[in-house]
Amino acid sequence: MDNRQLLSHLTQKLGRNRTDVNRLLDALAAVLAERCGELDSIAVPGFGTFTGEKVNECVVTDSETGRRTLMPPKVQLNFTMSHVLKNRLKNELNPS
Amino acid sequence: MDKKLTIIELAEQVAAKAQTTNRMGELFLKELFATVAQELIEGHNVEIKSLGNFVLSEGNGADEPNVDFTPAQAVAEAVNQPFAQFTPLELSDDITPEQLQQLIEIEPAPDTPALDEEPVPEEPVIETPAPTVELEPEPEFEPEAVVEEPVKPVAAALSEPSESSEPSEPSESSESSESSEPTEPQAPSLNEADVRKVAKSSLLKGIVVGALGALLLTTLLWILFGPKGVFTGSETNKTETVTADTAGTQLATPAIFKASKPQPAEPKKEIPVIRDTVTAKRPLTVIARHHYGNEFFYVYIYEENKDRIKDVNNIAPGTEVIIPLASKYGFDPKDPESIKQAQLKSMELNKGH
Repeated sequence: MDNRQLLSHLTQKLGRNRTDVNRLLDALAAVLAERCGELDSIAVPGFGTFTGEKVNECVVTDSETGRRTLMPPKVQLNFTMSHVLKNRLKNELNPS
Repeated sequence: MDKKLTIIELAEQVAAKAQTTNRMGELFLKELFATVAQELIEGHNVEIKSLGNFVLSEGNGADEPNVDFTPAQAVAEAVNQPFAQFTPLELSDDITPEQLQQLIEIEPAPDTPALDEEPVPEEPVIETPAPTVELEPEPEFEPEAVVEEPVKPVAAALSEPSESSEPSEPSESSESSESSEPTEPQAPSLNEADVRKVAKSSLLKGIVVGALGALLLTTLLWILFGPKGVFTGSETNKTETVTADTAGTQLATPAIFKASKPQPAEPKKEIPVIRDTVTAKRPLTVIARHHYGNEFFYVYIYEENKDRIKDVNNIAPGTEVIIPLASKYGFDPKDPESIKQAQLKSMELNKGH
């Protein structure tokens, strides 16, 4: 499902136009970035958890060339799916 | 930090951001995540332009599915905003071959993956601001630097400007207790200097205040007692209050000087200088009779005003003459001997003319 299909689906389900749905999606992205940037986590029942995680600086070495690169610290947005979703996926892939 | 938001709190914040109701925010989130989950269960990846991509992947085994979330570029940058200014640094450009050889001996190259992650403390040669800031906290130097700031002028006065940089050397971190000791003796010396400065300034202030007080007191004394002489001088017609020595210089002196030295002024008797004017009807003989009681004493008036009288028998009317005191020439107007001497002097004067 691409972005256009998702927008049309949500507009139909919510009874709102695309502009309103786009605004809600932008608001969700902004809240996710804001909260996870402060290393908070957002739990969505039945779906998963969005977590902001700080990765410390590290040296990445290319074993073939021997080049070393210092990677700066960063905060990245991780997603961990919930057990409910994992079980549903597992059941879907292995119905037996 | 490390706070866990529920779906309700998330809905409230999204609704606030989108300027809609909480109910709409909650419905939107439930419908969105339900749709995404349904699509993933159906084996489809989901692409959300403003949020990111949810991609199905194989986990540890074929029966262990996993969902990888890749945030959108804007979201990833917004999350990493605190560290956005840092960029990856290639170490190979900055390290010389010898240093690189040392690094290879210390850290043998791993074989399995193409890229391996190593913790930073194992890299002593790295010259980046982030690790040095985190690995070398120096809480003891900061208070010293604060203490040394006021000491700097004292060190500059002792002509040793290079001392200020010595305590900040990192090699003396083990001697921090020793380095703090020399600062302690400096602090009392600084305090003594301050105390001396304060004492000097207070002494100067005291002197200035005392001088001002004395000046004010003398002014008051002059106001209270000074006008007496002035009034007495003005009472006499055609007279001036001058000292016996020099009339011109004494008149030029300020009133405060006179009032500040009242005792030396007392022995100097203020002798009124009597002036008179020669007219056609009042020659010197008439003036002498008027002032001394005898006309022969005009010779002393002439003696006193020789500089302005060319001919004693032909004095121009309007000539102002000074009437000298009898004591100045040593005669007594009531003494017959003095009268005789004046007569003799008059005869000699007329003989000369």
